[in-house]
Amino acid sequence: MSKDVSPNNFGRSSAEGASSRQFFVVSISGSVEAAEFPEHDELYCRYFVEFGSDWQIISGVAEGMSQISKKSKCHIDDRQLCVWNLPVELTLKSTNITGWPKIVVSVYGNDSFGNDVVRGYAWSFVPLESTATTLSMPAFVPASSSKLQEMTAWFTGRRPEFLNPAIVVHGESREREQILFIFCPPMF
Amino acid sequence: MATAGKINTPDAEARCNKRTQSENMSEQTQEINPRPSSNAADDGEPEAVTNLQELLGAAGAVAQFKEASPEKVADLSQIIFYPSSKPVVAEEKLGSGGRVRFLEEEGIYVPTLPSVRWNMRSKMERRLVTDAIRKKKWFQEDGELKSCEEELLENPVRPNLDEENSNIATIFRDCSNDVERFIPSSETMILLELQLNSLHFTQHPLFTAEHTLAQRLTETFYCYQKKLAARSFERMSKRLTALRHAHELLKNKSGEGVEEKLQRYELEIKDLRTTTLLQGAAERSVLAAVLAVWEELKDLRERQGFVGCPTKLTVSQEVVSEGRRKKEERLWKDAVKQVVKEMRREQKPQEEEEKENSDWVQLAGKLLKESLKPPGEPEMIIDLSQDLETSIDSKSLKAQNRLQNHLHRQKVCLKILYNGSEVCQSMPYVLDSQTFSADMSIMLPLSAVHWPQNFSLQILQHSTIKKALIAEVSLPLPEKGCTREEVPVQKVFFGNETHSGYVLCKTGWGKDADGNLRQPSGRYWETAVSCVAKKVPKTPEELQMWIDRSRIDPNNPANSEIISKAKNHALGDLNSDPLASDLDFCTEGEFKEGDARLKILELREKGHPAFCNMKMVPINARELPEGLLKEFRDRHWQQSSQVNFIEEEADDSLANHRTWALNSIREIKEKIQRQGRLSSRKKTMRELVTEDLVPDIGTLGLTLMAWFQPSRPLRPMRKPRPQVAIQGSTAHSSTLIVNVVSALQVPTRKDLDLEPSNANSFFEGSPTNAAAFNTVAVRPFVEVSFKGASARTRAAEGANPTWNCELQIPIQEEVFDHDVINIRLFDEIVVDVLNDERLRDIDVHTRHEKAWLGAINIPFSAVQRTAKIDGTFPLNAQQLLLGYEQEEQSRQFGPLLGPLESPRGSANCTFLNFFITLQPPMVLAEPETTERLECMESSSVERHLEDWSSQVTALFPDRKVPALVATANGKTACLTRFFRPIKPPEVKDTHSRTLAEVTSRFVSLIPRTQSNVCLTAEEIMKLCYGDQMSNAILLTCFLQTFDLDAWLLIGWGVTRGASYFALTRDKQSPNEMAIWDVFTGLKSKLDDPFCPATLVWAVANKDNIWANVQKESAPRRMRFDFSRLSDWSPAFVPAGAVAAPGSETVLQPESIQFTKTPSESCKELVSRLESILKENFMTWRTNLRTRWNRHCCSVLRKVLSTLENQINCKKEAMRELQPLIAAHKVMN
Repeated sequence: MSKDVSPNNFGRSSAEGASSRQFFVVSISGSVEAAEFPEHDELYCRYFVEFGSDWQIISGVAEGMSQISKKSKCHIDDRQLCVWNLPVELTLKSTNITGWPKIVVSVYGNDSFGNDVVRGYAWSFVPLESTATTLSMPAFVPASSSKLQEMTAWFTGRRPEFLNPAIVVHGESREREQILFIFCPPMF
Repeated sequence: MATAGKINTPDAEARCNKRTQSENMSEQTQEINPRPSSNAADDGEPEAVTNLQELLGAAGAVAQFKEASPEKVADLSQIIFYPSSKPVVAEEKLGSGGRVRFLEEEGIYVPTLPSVRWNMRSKMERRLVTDAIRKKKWFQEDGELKSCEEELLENPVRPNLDEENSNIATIFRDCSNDVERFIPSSETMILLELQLNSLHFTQHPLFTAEHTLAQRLTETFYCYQKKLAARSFERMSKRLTALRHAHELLKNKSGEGVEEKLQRYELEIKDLRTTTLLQGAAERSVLAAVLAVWEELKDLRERQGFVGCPTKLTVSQEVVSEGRRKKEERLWKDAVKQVVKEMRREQKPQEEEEKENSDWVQLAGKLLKESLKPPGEPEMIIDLSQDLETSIDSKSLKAQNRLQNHLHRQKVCLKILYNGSEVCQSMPYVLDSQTFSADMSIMLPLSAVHWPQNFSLQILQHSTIKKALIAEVSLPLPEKGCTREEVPVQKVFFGNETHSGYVLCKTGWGKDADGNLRQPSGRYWETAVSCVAKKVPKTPEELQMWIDRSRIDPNNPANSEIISKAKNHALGDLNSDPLASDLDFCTEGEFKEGDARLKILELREKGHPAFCNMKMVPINARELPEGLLKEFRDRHWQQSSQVNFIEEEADDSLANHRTWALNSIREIKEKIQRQGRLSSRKKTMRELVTEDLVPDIGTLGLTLMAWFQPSRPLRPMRKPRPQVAIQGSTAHSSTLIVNVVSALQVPTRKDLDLEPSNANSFFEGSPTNAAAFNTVAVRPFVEVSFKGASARTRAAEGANPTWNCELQIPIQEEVFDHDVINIRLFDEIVVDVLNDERLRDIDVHTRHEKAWLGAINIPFSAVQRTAKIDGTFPLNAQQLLLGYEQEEQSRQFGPLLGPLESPRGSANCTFLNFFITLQPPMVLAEPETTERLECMESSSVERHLEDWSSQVTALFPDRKVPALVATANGKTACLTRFFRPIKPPEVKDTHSRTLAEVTSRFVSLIPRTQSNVCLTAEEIMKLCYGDQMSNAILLTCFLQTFDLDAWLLIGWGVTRGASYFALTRDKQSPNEMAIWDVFTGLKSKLDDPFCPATLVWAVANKDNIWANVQKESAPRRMRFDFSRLSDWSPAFVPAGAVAAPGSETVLQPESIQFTKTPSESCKELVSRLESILKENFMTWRTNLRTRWNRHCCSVLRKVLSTLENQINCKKEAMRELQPLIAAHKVMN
């Protein structure tokens, strides 16, 4: 999964002098470009930006959902990408760097029975560099807790999902990581 | 070349075609490839020609034939060979002596041959057969032509590459690296050998009493043996003798410093003697213990009548001979004498009083007896063996068999893990029922590519269905260069709560076929050292300590890193990374200096309650609100100085007392929160991941049943879906929807100015007079406000208005539990303020006033929990609404509301009908976590109560029954402990109310805070603060002193959320039950439709807690007979295993000391309240100054005191107010 972020400014509004600065501004602009899921097709994604309690959105939207995208076909493009080009435009202000914004992308698609299931969760910090950066984020999904459950989930199309996708960026309760089966599509 | 040219005439060529293939071929070759060398070298040409002629002898013949005359044509058949297409006989092909073999029949592989037409083939064969010499080369043994086998592939293997497209890049890839990685040479392979001898259990759940004793015997015996082997007593006594000898020698000498030396010796002797004696005593006690255990074991065997395990202690006593006995006695006496002498010497300086000699002897004898063998006592030689014959009678066999069966079911197997991955698993072993051990004798050679990092053994219990891990132990890795033969057998101990034991095993490096030791290379041993170094503590001080402790070799290059680190620690950070320093936003120094901003950030990270919800911590320290941290520090200091806040005496001043009490409660709350936080941090899988449950037999059965049930398409059933938490970051956006339907009994306006001055006549007169004067009785409207946002309905008319108006209030901010939805009823008064009558046609100038008529507060948590609130609720109004009057309800709604006798019902009360919901429904941010606090009850009671409440919760998930409540000292206690009849404060003037009502009013006046801590009556009185639960308990305790049965009622009120009430039953008339509200102090009947308790979950008193297990939980539809088990589930059954905590453990005091509030502080409070009122009144209007009427104030003050009396207050108050009303226009 790749996301292009550019430029990423430690903006200081020109109206304020350096001494009377009360906060700093980070503007994120980029796009959720494409994903490579070798096994799945017709995917759509949802992104949102998580940040700490010292941060505030001053413009832009913190979440968005993409269209359903089909994989590029063999004879045109060997890379077999699901291209979304979903723009991300967001400006945040903050007083502390703790809680630096993180972007969470969850990818969904239809399974063979036509159920809408989750295909992967991925997250990354919004890059610290103020240049254009391409991120590739490995995606993973929680696995069923037993084989039997895996089978029923496959039949019913209700596979395990995170109650709140934001959990992937938080450290809490990750000691139960053994429940998470991490499956990474190859990054590029 | 001439010859060649001659041959190659067209005729010749045509004739040549008739010759054999091979000749033809060579001819062709000749034609195509005229040798270029022959042109160049003329010398070689004649030779070449002759060669050719020889080669082509046949060609020469043809040339002759060309020249021959036509007469000789008849001989042509002799010259020209026409091969016929008849197949050649196999024998002919092989020549003389050749035997045809049928290869295929013999089982030899015969490849498929390319298909050639049969006639062509036989022609060719004919030609070849003619050459008798060469034909062997051409034919196989089976008589077939030797030929290539057919191509297997129809298509070409290589892709059809365009020759022109040479752009494909080729990369040279060296294969040597890969080979090294994947095909390890024999030198890098490690051979680790493991020998597992046996497995012994020293603790097992199936141990019989005999086994346990035998195990104890073994342990104590080994302990004894170890003590004997150490021979410390012997050595110490020898040292003592030597020291005594030296002392004696020194005594005889004289000189400088001798005295000092003597004293030092004496001290040493004293110390050594005591330790020696202690050592001896320890040895003897261990021996005694061994013998005692053995006695016990023997006793047990005798009692059970058989021997179950072979452990045996042989005790032999060596009887002391007469001569030795005498010697021993002499020695003993000497020893006693010596000790007595020393003790006297030591005693003298301190104590003057002389003891009898016999006393000393007795004392010394006693001391020595404990640690030395007294003379004449036989010498004990004990030995442990495992060879006792176990008895084979029927009784023992039965027990043995039973044990054997159990052990068969619980086999043990071992799993060996190498670097975390399973290498091998042994077959399951059955433990020996006598010794609880299993002989394994496993030899496991293990060759590995990777170096061993951890090598461990798992011991598994292998029952029929599943395997359970008993323990995992890491096996010792062999030292450098050790083979298995060299290493002694090692005992590796394992154990958990139920099992323990040891494995006998040994490990070593193996040798390969050439006899080379196959151990890891040198670098492994280095890294093994650096592995140790990784455990090095982080701080420099600890590192230095660690270096000192472990005494690592500073000259060893492997340790140089550590040493240099330790040396350089003064220069800088230990693990400093030059790249990471870019990310350091502040220095260590700033932290230590106590930068306020950093401190707050740190505290917030730790989740300190004061800061954990703080947002946007400013970027500069100076922008922090002043005193924020100071307050925190002060409190912190207070907290550390005060161990128990409640015990501490408060200040005299009332205000100070209040703040102190509030602080105390906050401290208690925080304390409990802190204790509970750790448990709440951990989330279960269910809270993280949504997953369908595996269908079990029950649900599968139901699904199968569903197929056979008649289908009812007209009655669709909704499948319950779990509530989905709102996802994403903007989760708080939701809308509060309030649908205000109607109101009943709204007070109507009554213009007081127009009233006759005689108050009596006013009350006696018809109340409808007032309405007659006004065209509009009242124009009520409702305003709903929540967190600063508000919305209002339009104004309706009349005393019983209907709005049917939907109000929407968006919720943007984060909502806390204590937020309240405020619904207020106002009267809209339109006052015409148009001055100029002439402008009336074109101008409208009116003033809209709103007059408060009543309000109701609904906690947001109640809406959140139930998703909707719907119904008619009474409004809280003040007792005396000046300028308004309620029409008599009996006239209007008599038949509708029925005979309401409760004070609230008969009193004039406005009712509002509304409906509240949230869109979309919000899920509670975090369900209340069950905090595990230390419990005051015994563990059995605690477990029982937990089980009971989980049972109730399983039946009715909505009903929460707190059986264990938190007390002020941070522990939990059973709820029943809080009940005891307590005498309420004495009240002189009851104002024509019953004592119970006055008490209830008293309790309702105790200020409340939000806390989940249950305070006792004493604590409430001391703090002058309570919370809902504590107040309800207090009220129950008070009410028990009257002629009432009282219970604490745990339930749910629509306007309260989960709350607590008191439930009473009159002892005289058992049908009269009432619910007392702690908030208002009002009593309501069970069948009151406006009863504050809408749902009843549980009831408790000092004997028991009863959970409501009836289908209905509304009080007016319930049965309150607690003895019915089908209706009420008691926590403690009378004949149950667990009894309620007795009355002696009640936490409540027998009586409370009520201290009278000093009148000065009362006055102070009054004046303060008044000044606040005054100030607010003056600054009420922004542009105009409002006057504060002092006369009014005094009158109102007088009225206020009479309002406490509820029944007659109106008349009195009215009388008092009358002059005021006459003089001023009074609103509300």
